[in-house]
Amino acid sequence: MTSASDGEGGGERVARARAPRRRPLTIHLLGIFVIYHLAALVLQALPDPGVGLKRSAWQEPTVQQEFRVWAGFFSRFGREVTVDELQRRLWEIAQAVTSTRKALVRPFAPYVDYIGMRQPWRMFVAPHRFPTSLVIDVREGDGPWRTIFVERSNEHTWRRAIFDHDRMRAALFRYGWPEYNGTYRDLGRFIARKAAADFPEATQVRVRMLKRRSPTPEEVRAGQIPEGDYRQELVIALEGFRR
Amino acid sequence: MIRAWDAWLRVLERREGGEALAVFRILSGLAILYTYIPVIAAGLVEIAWLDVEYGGYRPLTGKGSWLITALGGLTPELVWSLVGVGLVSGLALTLGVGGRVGGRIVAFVALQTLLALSMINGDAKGSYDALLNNSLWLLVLGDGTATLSLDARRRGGGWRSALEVAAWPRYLIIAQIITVYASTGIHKVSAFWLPMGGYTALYYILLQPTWHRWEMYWIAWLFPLTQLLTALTWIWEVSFPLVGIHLYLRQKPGPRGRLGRLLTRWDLRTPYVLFGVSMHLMIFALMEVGPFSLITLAYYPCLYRPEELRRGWARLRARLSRRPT
Repeated sequence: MTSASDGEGGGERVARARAPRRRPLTIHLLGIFVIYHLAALVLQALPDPGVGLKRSAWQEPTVQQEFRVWAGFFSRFGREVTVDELQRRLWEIAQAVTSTRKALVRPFAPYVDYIGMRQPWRMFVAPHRFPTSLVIDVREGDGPWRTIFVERSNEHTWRRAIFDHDRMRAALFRYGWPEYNGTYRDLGRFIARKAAADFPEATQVRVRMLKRRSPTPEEVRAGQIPEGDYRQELVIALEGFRR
Repeated sequence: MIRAWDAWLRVLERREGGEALAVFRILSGLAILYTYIPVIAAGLVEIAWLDVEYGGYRPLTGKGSWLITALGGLTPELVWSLVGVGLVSGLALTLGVGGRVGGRIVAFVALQTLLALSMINGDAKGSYDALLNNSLWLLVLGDGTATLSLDARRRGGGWRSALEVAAWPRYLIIAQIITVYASTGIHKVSAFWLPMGGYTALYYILLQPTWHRWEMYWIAWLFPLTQLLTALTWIWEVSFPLVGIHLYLRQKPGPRGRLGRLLTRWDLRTPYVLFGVSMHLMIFALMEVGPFSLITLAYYPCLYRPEELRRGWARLRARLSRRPT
C-alpha cells in the first residue's frame, strides 16, 4: 500500500519544537491516562491460568493428553518427567502466576468493570480432542426413544435456531466440562419445558452429551470414525412442565 | 525525564485525517448490528439474557453489569430496552451521527449497552463481546465522525471532510489489535500448536462440532495444509508485535541500528495484513463465531495512516475504472 520510506508521522502535523514547552494541564492528564490505558491493556492480556485451574478439568482426557505430550517432551532433556510430576509443578506455577497477575491487575479493576477493558484472548488455545455434542430424545410412555436434536445434524433439528447460534454454541461447549454440571442441569430443565410444549404426547425427555474422540486424518481416510459414548445423561419427566 | 515526557506529549498532540477512525467506526457499527440481529432472529434474547422466571434457560437473578443493577435488575422490559438502544446506537454509529461530542456519546451508549447485556450470562458470551467493547471505548476516545459520516454531510454538504482528528486514538487501536494477537498466541500453550504435537491444532479445531458450520472430515485429505497453517498462524500471532515495532521505528527520526534497518526495509504490514485477512475470511467461511471476524478486520485500516488509505482508495478506484466492461 505504501513504500517503507513513508514514515508513520510523514503526513502529520507534528509539533516542531524540540525543547520542552509549557502546555495546558489537560494534555498532561491525557498523557497519564494513555499510559494507564496501555498498562491496563497489557496487564489484562497476560495469561490467567486461574481460569482453567480446576482439578476436575485437569482430569479430562483432552487435558491429560496434553500433559502426556509435554511430559514426553521434557523427558527428552536427560531426566524423565512423569505426568503426575508435571501436573504437580504446573499446579504450583499456575497458582503463583494467578496470584501475581491478580495483584498486578487490581489497580485497573474499575476500568474493567465500568468500561469493559477486559482482555480475555484465550481463543482456540488447544484443540478439544474429545469434544461433546448435545443429543436430545423424547419418548411416549415406555416406547422407544426418538431423537429430536443432535448438535450440527441436518436430520435431527428440533429448535436448531437456538442451539446453532454462536452464543449457545459457546454455552454448550462449556457444559461438556464437569465443572458446569449445575448449569447443564438448568439447561436440561429448559429443554424439558420446551419439549413439553412442542411434543404434547411425549412423557419424558432425555438430554445427553455424546463424547467422541476426534479421529486422526488416517482414521478419517480409512472411514474409521470413533463411536464415542454418551455422558451426562438427564432423563426428565415432562408431566411437571405442562402445568 | 522531562525530555521523554515532552516527546510523549508531542506524540499525543499529533493530528491527522479522520478516514482510518471513520472506517473503524463504520465496521464497528455494523458489527453491533451483527451482534444483536441474529440473537433476536434466533429468539435468544429471553433464553440467553433473562432468568428462568422469564423464559431463560438458567437462573440469572443478580447478574449483569453495574448498569443492570442501577436500573433495578433483570426484567424483560429492561433487557429488550437495552437491545433496542443497542440496535439504534449501532445504526447511529454506522451512519456517523452526532459529531465530535455526540458521536462519542453514541459510542459510549453502545458500549454500556453491550457491556450490560454481555455480562448477564457469562456462559453465552464470546471473545468478540470483549473486543467490541474495546472498539467502542476507543471510539469514545477518538472522534470517528469527522469524515465518511452523516455529520460530515451536515457540516459541509459532502460525506467526506478534511477535518483533522487526534492521532493517538488510532495508535491505541493499533496497540489493541497487537495485544489481541500476541496474547492469543502466548495463550496457545497446547502442544498441538507446536512441533511436539505435530502441528495438528487447526485440524482438530476444525473437527470440533462446537464451532464448525458443516461436518469437516474432508480436511483429513488436506492434513499437510492444516499443519502448515497451524505453524504459520501461531508464528503470525506471537510475532504480530513486530508490526508495532516496525511502525514505531519508521516514524522515529535519526539513524537506525542493523535490526532497525532490517525491520523497516520492507513494509511489514503487507504480509501480516494479507495473512490476517485471509485467516479471518477462512474462519468466517468455515466456523460460526459470530461477528468476530468483522470486529477484528475493523482494526486493520488503522494500521495505515489516513493519507495511505486515501492513496490506496484512489488507486483502487482508478484500477476499477480502467477495467473493460
